[in-house]
Amino acid sequence: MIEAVGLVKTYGRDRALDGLTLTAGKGVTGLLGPNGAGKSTLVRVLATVLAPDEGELRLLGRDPAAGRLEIRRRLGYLPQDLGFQRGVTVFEFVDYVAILKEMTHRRSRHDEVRRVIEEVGLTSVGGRRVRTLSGGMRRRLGIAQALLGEPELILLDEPAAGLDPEQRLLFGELVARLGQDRTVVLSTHQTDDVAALCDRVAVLKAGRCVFAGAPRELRALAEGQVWVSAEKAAGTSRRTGDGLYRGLGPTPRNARPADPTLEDGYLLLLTTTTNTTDITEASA
Amino acid sequence: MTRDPDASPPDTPRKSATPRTPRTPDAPDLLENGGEPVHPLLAHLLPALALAETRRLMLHPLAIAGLALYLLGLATTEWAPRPAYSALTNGFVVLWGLPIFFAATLTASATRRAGTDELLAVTPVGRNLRTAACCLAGLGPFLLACAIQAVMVTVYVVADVELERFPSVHEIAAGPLCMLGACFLGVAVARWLPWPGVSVLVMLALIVVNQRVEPHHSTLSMLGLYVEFARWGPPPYLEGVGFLPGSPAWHALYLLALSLGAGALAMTRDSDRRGLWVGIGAALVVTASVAAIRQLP
Repeated sequence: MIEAVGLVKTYGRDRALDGLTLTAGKGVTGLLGPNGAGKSTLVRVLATVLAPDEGELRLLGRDPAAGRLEIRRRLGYLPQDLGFQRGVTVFEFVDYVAILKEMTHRRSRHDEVRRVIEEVGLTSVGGRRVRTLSGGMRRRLGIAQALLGEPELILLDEPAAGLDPEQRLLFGELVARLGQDRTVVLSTHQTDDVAALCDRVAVLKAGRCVFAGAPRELRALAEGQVWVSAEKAAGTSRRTGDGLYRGLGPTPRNARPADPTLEDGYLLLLTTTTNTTDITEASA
Repeated sequence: MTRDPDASPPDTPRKSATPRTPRTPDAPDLLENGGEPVHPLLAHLLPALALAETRRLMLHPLAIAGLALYLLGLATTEWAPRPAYSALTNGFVVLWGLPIFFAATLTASATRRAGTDELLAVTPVGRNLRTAACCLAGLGPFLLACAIQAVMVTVYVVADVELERFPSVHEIAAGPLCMLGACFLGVAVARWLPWPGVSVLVMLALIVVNQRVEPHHSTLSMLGLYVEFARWGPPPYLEGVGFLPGSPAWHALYLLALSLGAGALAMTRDSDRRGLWVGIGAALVVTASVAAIRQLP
């Protein structure tokens, strides 16, 4: 579904993508990485919003340079910063996007609009103006439009930002359902989301993919290198909710080993990899 | 999972064949559909899209306020021969036409100002079709203005208002044509000059031009957009002193060409067939120029 080889995207002198290689098939793929790692740029390239300066890209079996229109017909996209026009209602906004997705038949279009609004739990506010919605509701509205027309490739950039715990739960169920028969790419800062939702995870750092594999494989990177202690130790230790300090690396005196989490593997990867060291799957 | 040092990019990565879209003020960085031939079914989209845009334009608060102002002005107009004549010809150019220009600008630029353009850019429908729909939305106020004119003509005929001469169809058409032009110009400004406050400057420029060509009700006033076909006496302008000797028919053609020219200007910005729209625009400029000269006595 997604095959990217050596993607480069520059903004002036900054290389947002620096030879990124990534493949993703059916299922949910999470993109993790620190700020400025190139996640949003990658999602925008995959969404055909931006063209890569260099490299090869195939989406849904097509080269975006030659088949951009066909790809867009099969694409659902939620940008990181999605604004909404003043004065439009929830239904009107989704309906407008549905028209732009070539749904010309009024009745079936309205049925589809109602379906996606229901999918994200906004049916009760369908007639409300978007500006009166909470941040979480607006995010769900953004997700709703991405589901229009049952797209085969769904790109969600920070979809869970602003969602409360209950909404996150519903969102998780929705994404898991979507990932059963299509390709979903989820860009996020939340390792919890990746652990709960994703079949695969790609970690980006400085515009490159430094890891691609299953979440358990990322977690396994920290196997034997996680410890908890009652005392703060130098290095990467961080305070946990139960008053203990959790750290990565060799277990210091007065500390005990702990089971690694996905976040441990992710943090360890970021601290140990350099720009020229990739840990990726040979065959994705 | 394996460590794969070969996963790093080749030293000399291959150039992608993907064309880069030139940076534009209205759509920085966003890729359009790359000039691919639009699916024939897309033609069916235009009516649906135009209807949505028409609804947004007609329900824009400025458009509603303009219409309300016009109707209020109409209700308070004295049914004396001269004011009635004026109401039938250019009544809503200022009260409704001016707000509808700003409403059209704001509606056409709403997605850009709201930050929705990136999302809309990846839909199969390109900006050219969205611009066309915004232009077609101008038919809404135009048709409503025509309907209002028809009602007013009927009312004036039935009420048997004494007019020195009943306005010709061309004079009556001038108002709706100005409405159409205001909408098209609003879209063109939104597409070509997407900076805050520019629409106000454009409107000020139009007002200045109209004032310049209207010294003492000369025939040159027909080059403007707010033409008083009847010449007034001193305030309160209830006394008529005659009519402009120019040709209302050529003036109507002049307004039509200017209006359509504004629409062509808007389409030139986004269309894949820019040459076609430049050609149409040039033809309309010639038409407007000829009509501008021929309308004068």
